[in-house]
Amino acid sequence: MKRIIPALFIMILPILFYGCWDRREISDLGLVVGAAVDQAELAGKTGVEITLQVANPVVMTAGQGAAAGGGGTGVISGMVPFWTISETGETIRSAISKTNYRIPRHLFWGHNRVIIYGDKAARSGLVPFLDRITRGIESRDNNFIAVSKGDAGKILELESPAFQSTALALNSIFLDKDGWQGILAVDLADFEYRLGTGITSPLAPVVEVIPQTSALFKEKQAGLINTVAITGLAAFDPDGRLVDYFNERESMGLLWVMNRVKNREMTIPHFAGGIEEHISLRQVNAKSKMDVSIGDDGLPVFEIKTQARFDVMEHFGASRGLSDVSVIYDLEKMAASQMINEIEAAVKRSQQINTDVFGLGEEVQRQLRREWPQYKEHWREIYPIVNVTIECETRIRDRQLAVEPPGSRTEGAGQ
Amino acid sequence: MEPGKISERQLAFLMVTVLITTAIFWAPQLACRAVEQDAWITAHMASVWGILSVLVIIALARRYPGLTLIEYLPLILGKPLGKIFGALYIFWFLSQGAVIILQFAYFLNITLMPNTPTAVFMVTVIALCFYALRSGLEVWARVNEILLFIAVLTIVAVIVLPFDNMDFSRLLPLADHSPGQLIYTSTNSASWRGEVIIAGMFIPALASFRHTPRNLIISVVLVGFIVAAVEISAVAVFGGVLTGQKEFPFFSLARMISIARIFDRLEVLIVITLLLGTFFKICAFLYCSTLGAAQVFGFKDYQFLLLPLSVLMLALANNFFRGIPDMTDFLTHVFPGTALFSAELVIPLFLYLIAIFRPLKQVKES
Repeated sequence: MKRIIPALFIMILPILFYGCWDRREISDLGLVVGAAVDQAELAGKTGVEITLQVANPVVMTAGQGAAAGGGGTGVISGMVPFWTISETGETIRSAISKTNYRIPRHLFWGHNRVIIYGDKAARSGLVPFLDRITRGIESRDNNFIAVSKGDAGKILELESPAFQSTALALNSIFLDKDGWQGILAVDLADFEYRLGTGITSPLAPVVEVIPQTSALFKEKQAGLINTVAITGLAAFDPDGRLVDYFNERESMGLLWVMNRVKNREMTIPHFAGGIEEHISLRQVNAKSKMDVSIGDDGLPVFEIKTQARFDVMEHFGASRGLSDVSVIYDLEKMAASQMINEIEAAVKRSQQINTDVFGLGEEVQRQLRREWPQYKEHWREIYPIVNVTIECETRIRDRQLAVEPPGSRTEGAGQ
Repeated sequence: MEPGKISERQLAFLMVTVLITTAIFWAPQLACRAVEQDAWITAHMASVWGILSVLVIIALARRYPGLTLIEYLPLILGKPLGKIFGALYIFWFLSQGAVIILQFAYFLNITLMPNTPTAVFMVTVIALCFYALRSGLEVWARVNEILLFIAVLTIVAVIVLPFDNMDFSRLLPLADHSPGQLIYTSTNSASWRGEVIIAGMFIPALASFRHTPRNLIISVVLVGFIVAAVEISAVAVFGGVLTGQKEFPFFSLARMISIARIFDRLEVLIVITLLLGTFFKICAFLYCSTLGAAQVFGFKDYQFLLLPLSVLMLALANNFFRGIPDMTDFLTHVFPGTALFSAELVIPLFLYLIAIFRPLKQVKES
């Protein structure tokens, strides 16, 4: 008996090893890589229209594709690696559950990368549209969010032979190009943090469908002449309603102040003997801080101090100059004034549309804790009229591998 | 009654496991909901309450050496009242255990296996605890000694790894809430820290007692630091308001980890911590209730009570809450009352005060 019972137990145990109770083969899954959410009209009421871009794992797994298609390229002929589906509903979830009638796949949200909101949904207030994504167990708070001018669904429906999936293309832009020029990647946690403060305005990058600058003949024939691009930033009010857009220049100013600049290039004019030439500089590091004090009129006064270092990337001209230190000093001053201009433009714009995108209110809260309660209630009235001074300090670190442009004459050396 | 002996280190390790386990999952949400970015301050304030509990239980243990909390209750309060309080303590141990089981089961239900019936998790974990307790206190205390490192290591990993997303200026302004508000919120976190009172059931099983007061205080403070670190990390990543809006800030924190796109999706780490920690925590409370029950009713052995009491704990767990909203509500409003302000601090404190005024000799005679 002492041996029989353990023996029986061991014989029963393998039954548990099947382990396929809730199994889900990868070919049964529809991997959502991007979601677009729009506001829709549902029998006179406002509802949600959701468009999902879904990866087809069968096509993407090279081995299976080769076996089935026989071509060895990894793509089954006639099958597309990404497809889209669109549904409407009262809530995002109800729209998604409606898709079950039409697709034979289990939608899996774990690989979702980008959520794009339509202009209309954003203007009506994004808060209701955010809940499902934060609540969901499969979706993550480090999803990127973006706003599209016009219908968000159009972005995902755009066919893009080169990148296959527009959502993944956008994801790559956000991952690699965050902090380049006016591109700011905003993830859900970031957006929600700003919403939570109640005074700072959330931001989201703007995505647009624009014409490709160059298309292959085949693409032109197929009518595939458009692509997606990031064009500026959308500023929301603290309640999550889209107010207005920042253009590229204003976005760039914003990034300096937010300390999010990673790889910024700017082109500044350079006068050599009365001829206007241009020099491109690339930022190597930049740091910005805000000081708050109380002005004479009792309102807070802000002082934005930005420091940046640059490399010379290109001198587009034939005159001498970069070997001369005084020319370099001039460049530094020009770069600083251009930075000031950009930041000023951003400040002006944000005050004009009354969105505290810099987090100035939070800065008051942190630096002037005692005085903050008196501004707290009226911050939205105060913000457009506060005084902001900007100071920029720039340095040029190196000029890469050339001192002067090739062929520039030595005559001007004595300057 | 307890034949096994544990070392002082084992007790300290066991206390760290008990104090840290469910607290890091629930305290950040509750604390951030109340005081936002100042949550970490309340975690340290809770340590003060915890140290008070330690001092009281140590003072009692010094006065009645070799006896457990349940055993000296009748000596202090007189026999009938002492037994009634003993029975209440047993119920408290059981209900605490039931809440812990539920916290474990609900967590797995929400995060990993939504389609599995909650009962499956509850039965599995209690069966495991039953098995462990059958092997005796020495055994599981030693296992805990080995496994605590893994749990603490994973916790530290989850705290540190989201460094990419952290912005520490979100912790400012510092101490923006009134001291009263902070103290009020700290009682919640302290209700977890005060669970150190169950050390009163383990002290007689110690091989030596010399360093135990110091050890327990260090455990409490250390746990305070870890909980505070979780809260600091969560607030730096999500901000105070958003942390309070998350069901499991610690879990959401782990989901934010993405280093160089290689270290991704590390929330499994959390489940390791949860599994290890909850197992020992339930073991500790189940042990306390069985040992206590045997002592209240004067049995010579406690092992035979294990089965009925673990079934009772399971039954309690099954009927305790209707769902997770109920539980969060309980933890916010009721928990400090049932824990810190009764079983964990106030009752032991009164016991000690009465014990001081009762001459020791007389008590021993009766």
